[in-house]
Amino acid sequence: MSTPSAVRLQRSRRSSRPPAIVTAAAALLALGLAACGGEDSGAGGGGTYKIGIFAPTTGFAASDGKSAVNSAKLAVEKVNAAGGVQGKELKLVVYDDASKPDQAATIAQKLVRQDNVDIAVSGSYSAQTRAAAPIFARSNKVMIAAYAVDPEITQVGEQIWRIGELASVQGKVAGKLALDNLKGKKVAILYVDNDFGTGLTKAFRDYVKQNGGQIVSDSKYPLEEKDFRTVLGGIKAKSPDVLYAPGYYNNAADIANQAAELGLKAQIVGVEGYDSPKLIDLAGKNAEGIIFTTELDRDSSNPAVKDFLSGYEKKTGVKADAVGAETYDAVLLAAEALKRAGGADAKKLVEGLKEVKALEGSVTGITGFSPQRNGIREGLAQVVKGGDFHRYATFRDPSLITPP
Amino acid sequence: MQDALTALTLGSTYVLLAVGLSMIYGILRIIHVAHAGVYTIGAYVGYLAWGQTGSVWVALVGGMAAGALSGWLIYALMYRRLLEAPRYVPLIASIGAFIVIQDLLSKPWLMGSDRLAMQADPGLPSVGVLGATVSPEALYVLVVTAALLLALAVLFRRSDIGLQWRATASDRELAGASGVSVERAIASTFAVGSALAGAAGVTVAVYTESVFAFMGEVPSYKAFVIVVLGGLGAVLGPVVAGFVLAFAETLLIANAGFVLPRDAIAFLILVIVLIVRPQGLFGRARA
Repeated sequence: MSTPSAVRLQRSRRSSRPPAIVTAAAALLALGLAACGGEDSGAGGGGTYKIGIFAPTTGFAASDGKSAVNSAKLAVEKVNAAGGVQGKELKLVVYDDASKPDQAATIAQKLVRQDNVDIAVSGSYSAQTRAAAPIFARSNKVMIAAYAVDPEITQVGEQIWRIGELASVQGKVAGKLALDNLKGKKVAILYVDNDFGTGLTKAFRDYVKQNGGQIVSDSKYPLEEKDFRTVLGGIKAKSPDVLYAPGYYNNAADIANQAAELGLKAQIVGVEGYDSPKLIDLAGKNAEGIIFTTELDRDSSNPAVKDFLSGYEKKTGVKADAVGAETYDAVLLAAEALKRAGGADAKKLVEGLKEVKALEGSVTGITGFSPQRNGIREGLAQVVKGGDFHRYATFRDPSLITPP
Repeated sequence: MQDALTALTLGSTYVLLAVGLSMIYGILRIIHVAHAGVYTIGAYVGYLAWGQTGSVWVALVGGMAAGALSGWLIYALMYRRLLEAPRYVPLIASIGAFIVIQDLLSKPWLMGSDRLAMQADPGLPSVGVLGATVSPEALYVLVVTAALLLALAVLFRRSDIGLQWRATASDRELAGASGVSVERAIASTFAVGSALAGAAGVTVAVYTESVFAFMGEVPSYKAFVIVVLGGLGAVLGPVVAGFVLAFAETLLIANAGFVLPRDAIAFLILVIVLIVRPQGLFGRARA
């Protein structure tokens, strides 16, 4: 035991003055990190508007992050091809937050101070977006959250806007879907234990209780769980008609595979976290028939949606998902705000955003914004059929789909 | 009953991984963290072999061979040079090797960081037991585990190499002086233990219908919990401890849901056992 402590002693003595080589290496590393951040370090203004975006392009959410960044690029290409915003080109400044809130906060500081972007987009989850939002609000920069669901995000200031569907709306829509469209009487709930799963479940649970549904099982699971057989066995014993299971496509694939293995007959109802071609890849035939609430309608006849679906597949070689659609819309909204404001002045941007009704070219069908700056659109459910996503139902009742 | 079968299957995957780890600890007294890297390599080679042939049995053989080879390489290239170094040196080297294996596998030019689907059909029936069902995938896990553990028991008790393993594990120098080829005993322990890790990787891949580069992360420390629970260096110990842990996890989740992450349960049990029986469930107390 004497050896480790000796090492520690030696190290602590040395640490007061690191060798020159270490200092030099650290300095080089710092330079390198600073340099590799933004894709555009040129001066702002001139002929361009700079849009800062952060998304998890590495780490466990990398597929969502990549989808967000690719879709943002697609939107920028689209706007620029049409002549830019009043003759000015859009330019993206992209950062990877690796799904870490502290990293997102640092990036927000950088986008404001160092890159001096004109407007920002969050292509990341709730925790990262929540960490970044107050920094943008305090610095009086407009930020548009693409798909983060936490209601508090837009409440930090009038500079913060959201494309995505609030958990409180999406959960209610799923409740209506379960009770009316699917005629469910007995409902089981199994949700991922984070703000995403909890928020959706709260809205769903309230709706089901208020509208005469019976909740026969209500449990949660940790995000990294892979073996659901035991809880699914318990759920099967209660023989529910519907299993509402908020989570991500990874969890959904495990749940679908193991539910099939156990012979659980309940109709699985999911959420926008299911909206990824990886779900069909991982669950194969067990994904068939899953219905979930989301924002991207594959069967839409709207040319903007068709364009996005084919453009994304052509650009990346994989099919588009809801996260991408929402980020695409966030960039379109940023361009619309810049156009209406005729510049990057935050006050004018906010005034401009307040005027937006139906967002032109929107692929998630934005028809306006609520007082708390949340996107309004029709509710939508998709179903997995023949190895692809298709429209199952849409929801127009304003009491259901209007966010606060 | 369904829960008992689930626990039995889960326990089988734990045991396959932990037994090899325990054998290696027994013979070298090395905390072999990279064992979980071997497990991941085994799973990926199994996945590729299945992709080529569609057979989970070819996958098993491929995974075990890849496991044996990579385990032996880790020994020959790394631990063999560190045998005389203080004990923390091989430990740190092992953690390093594990990280390198995971990061290399997750590179886009190798296997990528995405979870890859492996919907393999083991070609086995679905069996009903007392009102519960054993799925073909679960049956595959159970059959493979039973066969490998039986083979290992025979190897240990009935063969020359088994005798040499036991001799080397109990006292390396004395075994060497008595004519045991210590070098061969250690290398073959690594090969066999790592082949079991490869088999664990393949069975988990079939059971969870997927592989991914970081699938070894949780097993890397859970296998240690099982080895310590079982009494370090023993072989029967980790077998029993693996099943005990799987049953404890399943029982808790069945009755209380996911009150705490599954992997916290393992450590909770470890802490309790270490307080009550510091030598592990089956280890002998030191004189």
